[in-house]
Amino acid sequence: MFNCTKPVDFEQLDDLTLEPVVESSLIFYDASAQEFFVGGTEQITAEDFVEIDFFNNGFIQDNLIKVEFVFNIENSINRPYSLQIRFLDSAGQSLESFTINTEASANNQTIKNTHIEVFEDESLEHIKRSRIMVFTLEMLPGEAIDENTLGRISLQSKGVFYLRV
Amino acid sequence: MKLKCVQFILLFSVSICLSQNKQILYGFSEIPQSLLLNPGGNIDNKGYFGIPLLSHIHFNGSSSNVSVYDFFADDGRDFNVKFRNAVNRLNSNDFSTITQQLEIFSGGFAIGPSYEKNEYLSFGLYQEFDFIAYFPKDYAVLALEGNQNNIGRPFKLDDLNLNADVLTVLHVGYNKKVNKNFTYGIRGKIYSSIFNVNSTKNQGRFITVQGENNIYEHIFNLDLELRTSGLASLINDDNDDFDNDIKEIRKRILFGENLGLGFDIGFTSQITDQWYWDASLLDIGFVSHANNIENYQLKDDFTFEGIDPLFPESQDGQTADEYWSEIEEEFEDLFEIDTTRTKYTVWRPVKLNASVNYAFGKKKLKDCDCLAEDGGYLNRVGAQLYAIKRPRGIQAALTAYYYRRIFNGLSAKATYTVDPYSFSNIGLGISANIWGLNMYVMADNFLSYQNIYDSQNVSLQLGLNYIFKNED
Repeated sequence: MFNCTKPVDFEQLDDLTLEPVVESSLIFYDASAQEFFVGGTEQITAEDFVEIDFFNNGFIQDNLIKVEFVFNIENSINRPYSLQIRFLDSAGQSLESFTINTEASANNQTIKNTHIEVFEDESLEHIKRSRIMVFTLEMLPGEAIDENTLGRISLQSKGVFYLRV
Repeated sequence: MKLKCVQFILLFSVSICLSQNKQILYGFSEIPQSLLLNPGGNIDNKGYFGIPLLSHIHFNGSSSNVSVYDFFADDGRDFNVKFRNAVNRLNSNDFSTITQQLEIFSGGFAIGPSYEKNEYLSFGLYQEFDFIAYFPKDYAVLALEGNQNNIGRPFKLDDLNLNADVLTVLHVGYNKKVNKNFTYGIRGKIYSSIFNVNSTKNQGRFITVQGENNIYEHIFNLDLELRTSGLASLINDDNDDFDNDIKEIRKRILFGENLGLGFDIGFTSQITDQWYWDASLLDIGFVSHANNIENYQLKDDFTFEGIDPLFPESQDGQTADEYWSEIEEEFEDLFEIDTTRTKYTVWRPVKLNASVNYAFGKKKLKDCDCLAEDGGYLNRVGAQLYAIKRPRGIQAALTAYYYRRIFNGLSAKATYTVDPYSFSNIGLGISANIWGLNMYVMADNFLSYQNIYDSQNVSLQLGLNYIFKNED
């Protein structure tokens, strides 16, 4: 038989899922040992916060299925450090937090390490509810710092956002 | 006009194919609408008028490199796989077009001294819908994959390129047969735009590269614009009364608020008794969009590499949050769409047609076993070139054809057309004259009729005219 068409099904369009993975730079810093020696004394902690609107968005709420935060840290200061990152809701209640520890570099050789935090399911829901991020860099007990102390500590980071649309 | 033997010829044509190329109609001088493809074409009637709204109905749609079937075949395969395969196959020069034309009225008549009516005036009004969209490849890849696997790859924002026009064309054409070897013609056109959507001048890119201070640097250069005319008053009006909108559209059919001018030119030149060539340029013109404009513009540059919350370079006591708020504002500005009412001009898609033709085979008369002198040749073969200027360059097609006058009043034309996307387009047109009633049927892409959804190219033409035939 002469047929003009073969079966097609336009409703398949409903099955279309887009699964892009978007990577974005997050925070960074690069500080010399002297920046922890201010006014003749050790500056043990550096802390600040930012209000984030990123998760307060219908598209992200509905389609973000997984987040990874990747941190690359380099330390050549003979002092261990810890960086704590906390996610707070708009009322200031802590939802999620994690800490990245860095060893002291006794001979001022650069110590590199990478830290990955993954958020899925319940922990991701916490991240989506967060509106404030607090960063606390703390110098842990060790060799005293003065104006002659060598070395730097730096951090670079990215977020990997898995979407399903 | 002396019409001793007036013959009303009823023309009725249907053809299905998918491209703006009307390769079967071109040069088919029995059909008055062939004059719209070459104002300097040969004419073999003394006058005609088209049946209002029925004289020429044309629809065609095409897509390069991919068919509806590729996407939507009901074959049990995962749609997402088919979709991704199709996206991978397409590039940013692939396109979809839809063209539709409806002749509202048309007519024509020979003028000149009664002993030699060698001039011809034709006129008409038709409505046209013309849409072209290129495949926004980089946008599709970004939506499907994100930037993770594409670090260092620029996402080109000029991949977004589309134009849609609904307009009417009022035209008057003049055709003169200078001598038996040369005929030329010109047609003036007034375009009246009903609406236009145009986004053909986009620029910029988005790219993620290795950063200096942080892992990545994200560079946004955005320069995007979508221009519309004729839509704002329909969409933004307070009423949702569709009748009002129809009334407003009707006002724009003749001399609406956004007008344009253009012309067609063409000629036919007889080289020898059997050889001739012809060519035409159509729609050399523009539409000036000055009223009822609403444009949307996105233009900004921004580079983002994250934030330094603890040791910011600026030592002016700014807190991390103030610093971040600034960046957030920059992002908002980046994606802020400006609405403007700037006038703009859109050039019509210029079309070129040309052909070389060879006629042969005179009819033998049974009575005297000699050749008929005035009947002309029965067969014709030729090659036709068609090209259209589109926003991203010229699209062209080449056609070989065979035409045969089977007997008086019945003629047929078969075509084989190749273009960069298809090597299997066979078309056929038949024009029949029975008891003064002339009907013709045209179709192309015969090989794809087993499954029209798998065709990348389909078109439909329908027409109805009264013709005052040349008596000889």
